[in-house]
Amino acid sequence: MAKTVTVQPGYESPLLKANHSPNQKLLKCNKKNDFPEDLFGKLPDEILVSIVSLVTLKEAARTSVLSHRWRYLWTFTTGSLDFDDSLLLWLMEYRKVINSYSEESDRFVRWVNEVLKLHRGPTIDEFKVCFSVNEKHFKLDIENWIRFSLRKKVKRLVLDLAHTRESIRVIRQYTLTDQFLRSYHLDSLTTLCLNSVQVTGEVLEYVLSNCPFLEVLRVEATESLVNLKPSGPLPKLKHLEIIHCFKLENFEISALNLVSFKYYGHVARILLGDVPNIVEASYSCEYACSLVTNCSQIPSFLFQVETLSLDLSLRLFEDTPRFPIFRNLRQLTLTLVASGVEPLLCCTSVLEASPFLHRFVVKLTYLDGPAGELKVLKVEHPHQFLSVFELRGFLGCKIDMELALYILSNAVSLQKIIIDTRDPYAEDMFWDERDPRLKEWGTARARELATRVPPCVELMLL
Amino acid sequence: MKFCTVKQYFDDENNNNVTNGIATTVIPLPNKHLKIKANNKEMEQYEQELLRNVMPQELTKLILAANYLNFKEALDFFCRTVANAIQNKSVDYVRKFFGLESDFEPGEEEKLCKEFAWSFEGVDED
Repeated sequence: MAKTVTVQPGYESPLLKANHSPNQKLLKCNKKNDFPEDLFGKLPDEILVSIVSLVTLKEAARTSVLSHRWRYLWTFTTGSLDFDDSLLLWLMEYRKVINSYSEESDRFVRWVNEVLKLHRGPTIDEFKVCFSVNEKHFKLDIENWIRFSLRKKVKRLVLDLAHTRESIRVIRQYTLTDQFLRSYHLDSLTTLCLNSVQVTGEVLEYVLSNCPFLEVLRVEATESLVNLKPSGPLPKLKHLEIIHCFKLENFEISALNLVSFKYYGHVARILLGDVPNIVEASYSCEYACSLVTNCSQIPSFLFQVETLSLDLSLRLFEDTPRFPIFRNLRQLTLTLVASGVEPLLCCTSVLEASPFLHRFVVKLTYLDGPAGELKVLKVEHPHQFLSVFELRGFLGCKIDMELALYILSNAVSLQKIIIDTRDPYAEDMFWDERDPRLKEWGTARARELATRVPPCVELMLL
Repeated sequence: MKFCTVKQYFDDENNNNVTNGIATTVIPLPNKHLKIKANNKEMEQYEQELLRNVMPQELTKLILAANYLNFKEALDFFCRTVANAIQNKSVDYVRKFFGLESDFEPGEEEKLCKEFAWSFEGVDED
C-alpha cells in the first residue's frame, strides 16, 4: 500500500537527508531541475519509493542510474527481493554452459549479500532465492538471509536452494532448525516455500503454530520430513504443497479453509480432515497411481474438487481403472505413459466418471509404434459437457491419434481441440530437449488429423 | 473517511495542488473502483486506457492529487500504472518517461552500470 504523504512547498525528503554519504549533494524537490518536463520531480521520495517497490528487483536497481535523485531510492524498496537464477542452473545441468558450481554459488551468494547490505527499507514483501547453495560453505549466509527477511517482516519467503543432479549426493543441504527460528518473529509470514532445505515435521509444526497468517505452504525435496501433525487448526491455510518428500509416512492436518492441495510422493497416510472449500488437487508419483488402482482409497474430498491433475506416468496399468463418479469435476489433467491400449481405456474410463467435465488435458509421454490401423471406440453415452480437449506431446502415433479421434466422435459439445506437439514437460524446463524431428512428425500428423475435425470445432495446433 | 480532505479542498480556494481537471478524474474513481474491484481484467483494461490517454505528466498530477486527497486506493492504482509502464524498459526510456536528464558525471554513470550489471539483463529494446 502506498503511503500518502503531505506535500509542503519546499519539501525535503528525510529519507535522502538521513542516509546519504556526506559528499553526496542533497536534491530539493522543487529546485534543481529547470526542465519543465520533470514533473515527477515534484513527487515526494516516499511516492517514488512506492513506485519502485512495485517493480522487480532488477528494474528497481536500474533506477539507480536514472539520476542523482534516484541513485539510492531503490534501496528503500518494500517490494520483492527476487534472486532467481534458476535459468542458469538449468543451463549448467543440461551442459549448455560449462560453469563451475562452486564459482557460480560464490557469485550468487555475493550478489545476494551485496543487495541486502544496500537495502534500507523497513520492510519487504518478498524474499526469494533460487539457486544451488549448500550448507557446507554458505550456512552463515543462508541464516543471515533468513534473519534479514524475518527482521524486515517479510510476507513471502521462498528458499529454493535447488539441489542439482550432481550435488544432491555429495553436498549437504541447509538444515532449518527450530532453535534458529526461535530467536525471530515469524508472524509476518503469509507464504513459505522451501525446496531442498532439510526440515523435519517438528520444525514445520513450530512454524505453523507461530505463523497465524500463513496462507501458502510448500515443502519440496526434504528427506527429513517423516511425520507432520500440527497440533492446532490452521484456519488461514489456503494452499498446501508437499513435493517429493519421499520419507513422509504420516501427515495429518486440520485446515478448514484449504483451497488447493498438491502431493507428489510415495504412498503415505495423508489426512486432510474437513476441507469444505477445496477446489483443486494435484497428485503425482506413486501416490497418484495408488489412487487409481485402489479407487476405494480415494479420499472423499476429491469428489468435491473442480480441478484435478493426476500424473500417472510412473506406471503402466494392467487393468483399466474404474473411477467412481466425480460430479464436481470441471477440469482434468492426466499425464500418461502412452504404451499399449491402456492409456486410451484409462481416458475413456475417467471421462465416463466425469459427466460434467468441461476441459480435459492429456499429456502423453513416451509414445511407441507408428500408427497402424486406427480404431475408434464408440460409447453408448457420449460426453455432453466436454468443450475443450488438449493433447500435449502429440506425435501422431496410434495412441494419440485414436485418443483424439475418440474425443472428436464422443464429445458432442466439443468446441475446441488443442494439439500440442511440444514436449509435455517443456513448461517445467526452459526449452525442448527432445529430438527436433519429433515435433515435425507430430505436426505433419496433426495436419492429417485436422481433416477429420468437424467444422464446428476449433482446432489449435501448437 | 476517504473524502475528509475533499471538503477541505473545496473550502480552500487558494489551493494549488489540485487543479479542476484532475479533480474530475480522481473523484469519480472510488465508484469506478468499487464496480471494478472484483474484476481484475476490467481493471487492467481501464489501466491500459488510462495509460494511452494520459501522458506521464498528467499521471504525476493525478498522483499528487490522490496523495493530497489522502486517497490510498487511487494512489496505489496510479503507482501501479507507472510501475507497469516502466516495466522491463531501458534506462533511456524510463528517463524519457519521467522527464529526467542524467546529472551524473561522465564516468559516474558507467561505474554505476558496471556495479549493477546484474540488473541490466533481459531488458526490452525501446
